Amino acid sequence: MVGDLIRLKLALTRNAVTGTRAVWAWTGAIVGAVLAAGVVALAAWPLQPASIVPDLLAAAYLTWLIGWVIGPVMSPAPPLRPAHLAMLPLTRSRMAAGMLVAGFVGLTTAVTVLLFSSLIVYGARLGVVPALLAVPLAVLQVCLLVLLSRVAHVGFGRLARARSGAALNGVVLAIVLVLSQSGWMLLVGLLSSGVLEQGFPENFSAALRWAPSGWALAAVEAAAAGAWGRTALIVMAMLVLAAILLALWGTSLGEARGARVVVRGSSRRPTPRSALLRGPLGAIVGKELRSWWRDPARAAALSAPLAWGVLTAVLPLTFGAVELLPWAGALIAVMAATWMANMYSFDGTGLWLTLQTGTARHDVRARQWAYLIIYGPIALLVTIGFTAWSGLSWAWPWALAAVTAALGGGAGLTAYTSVFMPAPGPDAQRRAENPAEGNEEIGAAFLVFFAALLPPLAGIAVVYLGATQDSLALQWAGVGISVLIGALLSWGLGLAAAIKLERTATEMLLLMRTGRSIAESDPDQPTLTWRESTVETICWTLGILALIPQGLLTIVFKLTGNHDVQVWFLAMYLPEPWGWLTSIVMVLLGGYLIWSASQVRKRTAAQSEKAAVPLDG
Amino acid sequence: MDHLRPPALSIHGLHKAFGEKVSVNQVDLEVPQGSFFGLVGPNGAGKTTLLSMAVGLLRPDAGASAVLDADVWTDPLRAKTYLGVLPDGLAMPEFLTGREALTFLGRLRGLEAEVVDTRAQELLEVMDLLGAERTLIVDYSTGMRKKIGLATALLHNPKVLVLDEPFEAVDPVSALTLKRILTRFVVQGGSVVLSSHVMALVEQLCDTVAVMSDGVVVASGPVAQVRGETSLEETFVSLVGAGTGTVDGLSWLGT
Repeated sequence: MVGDLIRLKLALTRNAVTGTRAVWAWTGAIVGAVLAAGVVALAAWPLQPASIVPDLLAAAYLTWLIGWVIGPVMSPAPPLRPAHLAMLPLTRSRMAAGMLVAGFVGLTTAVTVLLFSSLIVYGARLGVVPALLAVPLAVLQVCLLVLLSRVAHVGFGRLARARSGAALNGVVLAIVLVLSQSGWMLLVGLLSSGVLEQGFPENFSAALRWAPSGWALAAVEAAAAGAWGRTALIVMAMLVLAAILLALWGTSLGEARGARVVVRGSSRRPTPRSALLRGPLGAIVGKELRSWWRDPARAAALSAPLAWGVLTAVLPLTFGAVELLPWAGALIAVMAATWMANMYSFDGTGLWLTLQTGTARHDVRARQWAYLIIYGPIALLVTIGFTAWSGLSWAWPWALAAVTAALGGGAGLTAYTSVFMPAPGPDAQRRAENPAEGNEEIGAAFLVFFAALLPPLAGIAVVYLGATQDSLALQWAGVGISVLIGALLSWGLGLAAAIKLERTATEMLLLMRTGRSIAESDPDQPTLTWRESTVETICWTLGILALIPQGLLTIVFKLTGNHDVQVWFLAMYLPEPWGWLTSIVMVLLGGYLIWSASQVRKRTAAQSEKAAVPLDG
Repeated sequence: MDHLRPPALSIHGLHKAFGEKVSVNQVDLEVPQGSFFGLVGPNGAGKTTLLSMAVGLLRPDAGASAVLDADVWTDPLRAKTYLGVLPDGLAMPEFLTGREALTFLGRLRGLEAEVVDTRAQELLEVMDLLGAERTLIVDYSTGMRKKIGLATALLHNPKVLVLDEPFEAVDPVSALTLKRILTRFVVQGGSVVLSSHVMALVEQLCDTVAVMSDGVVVASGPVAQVRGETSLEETFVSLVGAGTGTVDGLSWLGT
C-alpha cells in the first residue's frame, strides 16, 4: 500500500506543482539544501570553544523545526489528503503510517535528511559509538519533525475554522515573520555578548536541547560522555513522542470532515434607499465589508499585518529603543498590502457574477475602498497612538508621511497585482476543512512587499529636507505630498487594474476555475520573449529612477533653494550650470526610457496582431 | 413560428480546445424563442464548456453566440441583461446570506430598491430558503446552492435562462417547484436552455433537445422527432454509444 501511496502522491504533485509553483518549490529546495550543507560543514568545523558547535547545530535544528511547523500552515494542504482514502477499508493506524511514509517523499524531507546528516558528522567527531548511534537517531529525528509538522497542520486547521482561531493563526505567522526578519537583532546582541569566544550561556544551551528538535543531539552527546542511562532515556522519550504524535494524527485522519464554526448573517435587512449606497459600487463595498467580518481567511489577513507591524516596532523596546514605534502604522500598511496582493483569490470563481453583471470597474474600485476602510483606520490609529507613546515629537510628519503613502500605494498595488498576477486558491466553499488554506503563489506578495515600501519615499524625502532646513512647513508639505502620491497611486493603479479586469475577466475566471496557469493568455497582450521583457524591465526601472529622483526631485530641490541636499542626487553634486543641465537631461532620459519601455510591448502587439487568427472562423 | 423573431440563443461555430483536447468542436445551435431546450450528453461531452462560452463566461477559440439580437462578445451588456445564468460549480458571494446575495445582485444590476426587496422575498419563499434566513451561502447544502443560484438567475426578470444542471442534488419537492417555475416562465414567453444527464427529466420538461457527445452535437430538434419511436434514453444511448464496457464483464459482482 505504501508504494501505491507514494506513487499517488508523486502523480498528484506532478500535476499540481507546475509553472511558477514548480520554480518556487525548486528555488526553495536549493536554498534549503545550501543552508543544510552549511550546517553539515559547521558540524565538521573545529570552532573554539568546542561547545559552540553543538549549540549552533541545536539552534539550526530548532530553526528547521519551526520551519516544519509553520511551513505547511502557509502553503496548501498536502497533495495527498486523507479524504482520498476515506472509503477504503483501512485501519486508522495503517492509513496514518502509509500517509506518513508517503509524506516523506518530497523535496523538503530530502533537504531535512541532508541537514540531519550533520548529526552523524558531529557524532564522528565524538567517537565511533556516537557516530554509529547518530545514524538511527538522525532518522528518528527527521520522523519526529515530519510528525510534528503533520499534527501542527491539523491543529492550525482546526483553529482556523473559527474566525478567532484564524486571527490567532495570523498572529502566530506574524510572530514567526518578525523573529525571522529581526533575527539580526538577536544576532547583533549575540555577537556583542561575546558568545563566540565563551560559548552560549548554559541555560540557553540546555533550552536548545529540551526542544524536540535537539533530542537526538542530546542523546549523541550523552553517549559520547558515557552516560548510557541518559542516552536510553532520551531515545525512549523520542519513541514515545513519535508514538503519541502518530496516534494523534491517526485519530484526526479518521474524523469526518469538519465544518467551520457557523457565522450567522443578518436577516431581513432591506436594500438601502439612499442614492449613495444603492449603486453597484456601494453594493460591492458592502459585500466586501461583510466578507471581511465573516470570512476566517480574511480575519487572518487582518490580524497578521496588525501583529507584524506592532511587533516589529515594539521588539527594539527590549533594547530601550523607541525609534521604530512611530513607524508601526506604516509597517502595518505595507504588510497589509503584501497580504492582500492576491485579493481576488478570496472570492475565487465568484468572479463570474462580476462578468455577468458587467461590473468589473466597480468591482476593482469597491475592493480598493473596502481595503482602505478596513486597514486605513487601523494603520492611522496605530501611527497616532504609537507616535504619541514614543514621545518623539519630531516624528509626527515622518510617520504620517509614511503611513498615508503606504496606505494609498497599498490600495493601488493590491488592486494591480491581484488583477495582473492572479493566483487561484481554493474556493471558499471548498475551504471548509481549513479555511486559512491559501496557495503557494507568493511571488506577487513578495513583489508587493518591496513595492509598497517605495510610495512613502518621496514624501519622506521632503520631510527630511524640511528637517534639515528646520522648516516645519516643509515637513508638513511632505505629508501632503504623501497623501497626494497615495491618492494618485490608488487611483492610477486601480484604473489600470479595472481596465485590465474588464478585458480579461473571462481568462481570470478560467484560471480560478481550473486552478492552473492561463493557457490562453490575455488576448490583447502579446507574449514577450525573455529578451524583450528584460529590456522592458530595465527601461522601466532606469526610466523611473532617472525621471523622478534624479530629474524632477533635483529640480524641486534647486527651485526651493535646497542646494545642500546631495545624498545620491547626481545633479546636486555638480556646479551650475552643469547641475541644471544634468537635471534636465535626466528628465529627458527618463522620459525616453519609459517611452521605449512602452514601445516594446506595442511593437510585439503589432507583430502578433498580423499573425493572429480572427475569432470568427 | 414567427421566423422574423431572432432566436433566443444562437450559437455559431463555437470552438474550444484546452491544449490538445478539443472540448467543443465547431458547434452550431439555435434555440427558438419560447422554447424549453434541453442539452443532454454524457459526462465530459462539453456541455458546460459550450454553455459557458454561449453566455460569455469563457472566451471561445472561434465562433460567436448571440442572445436575441445582442452578440454576447461585442454587445455584452445588453446580452447579459437578457440572460439569466446558473453555472455549475462556481462560487457565489459566499459570505452573504441568501437574501443579502439577492439584494447584492439586484443592486449590481441597477434594479430599484423596492423591486429588489419584493422580488428577493418572493424568490426566497418560492425556493423554500426562508428557513435558512441567517445561514451564509458558504454553509448551504448543494441543493440549496442550486436554488439560490436559480433565484439570482431569475431576479432581474431575464428573457432567456441558461441553466447548467439545475436539478442536480435538488430534493424532489423543490424540483417540482422549480419545474413549475420554469414551465410558467416558458408559457409566458421566456426561453429556457438547460443541460442535464437525466433523460426522463428532459423528456418531461423540454420541447426541443440537442444531444452532445465528444464536443459535437450529434442530434437536435423537437423531442418527439429526436427520440422517434423509442424513449429518449434509448435514443441517447444509441447516439452516443453505450461505451465499450458491457455488463457481462462484471460476472463477479454480487456473487
